[in-house]
Amino acid sequence: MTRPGWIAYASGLALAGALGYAVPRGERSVERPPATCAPRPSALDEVALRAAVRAELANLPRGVLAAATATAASGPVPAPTAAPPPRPEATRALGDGHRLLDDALARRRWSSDDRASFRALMAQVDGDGRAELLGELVPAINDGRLEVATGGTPF
Amino acid sequence: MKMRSLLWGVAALVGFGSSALAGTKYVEPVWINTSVRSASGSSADTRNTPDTLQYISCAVQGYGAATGASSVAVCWAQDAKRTAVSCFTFEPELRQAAAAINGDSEIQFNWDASGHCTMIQATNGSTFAPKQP
Repeated sequence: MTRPGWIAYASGLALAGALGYAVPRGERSVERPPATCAPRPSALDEVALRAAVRAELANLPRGVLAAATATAASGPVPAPTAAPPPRPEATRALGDGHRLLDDALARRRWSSDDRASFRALMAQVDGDGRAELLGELVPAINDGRLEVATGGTPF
Repeated sequence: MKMRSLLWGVAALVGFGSSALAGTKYVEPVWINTSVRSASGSSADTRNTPDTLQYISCAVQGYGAATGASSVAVCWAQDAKRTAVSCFTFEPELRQAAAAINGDSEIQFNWDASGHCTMIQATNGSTFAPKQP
């Protein structure tokens, strides 16, 4: 073999080795199914598809698209707003409730009149106020700081 | 002869009457233990006690949207020694239990140091007597 011929032969071998043809790897070759590609839609299909989408969007009720666009543009959902301030009547009733309880505790007695006033105030305060007043009255009864003198129902 | 028949009839009535009264019965006036924070009692037996001190009840109070819709269950009891206890809860499970109480139920409730109910039980069964007028 002439020198250029040898060089060409060696180059061919190196190329074949790089491509994995010349070196046996001892692995069992796996029969792979021939690769298939989805048929590429023709230009005509794309045009038809775009036209159909445009037609669908055009048929949407007015406002839906705007709302969807606004929702997408508005970004993350805002944090819930703070609770509204308590109503003045509820604040007043809560103060009256505390005074009622303070008076009863001073007398160490929970009378029928106290119960009636308490019920009326419980209907005026808000949910937190109800929990607050009950949280003051109930332990006072349980600890014996208030004698229940209503002849029955203390609430 | 007539007299003997009458006696047999009376005896039979007595016998039937006795069998009609059979069955397990509990008499349960108010019991309160403040150490373990528990109270119980049958509504009927408590009402039927000769004293005018004992009571045991629960109620569910509902409040409308104008004041912030919520409902709360409250229970209370007093025994013959004038020991009075009570509890309240906003928890739905406990309110549901309180709503199951009827006029002849046996009631039990437990509470914690802050007065919150930790358990409410309503037992409706054959062992508890109905209320007398």
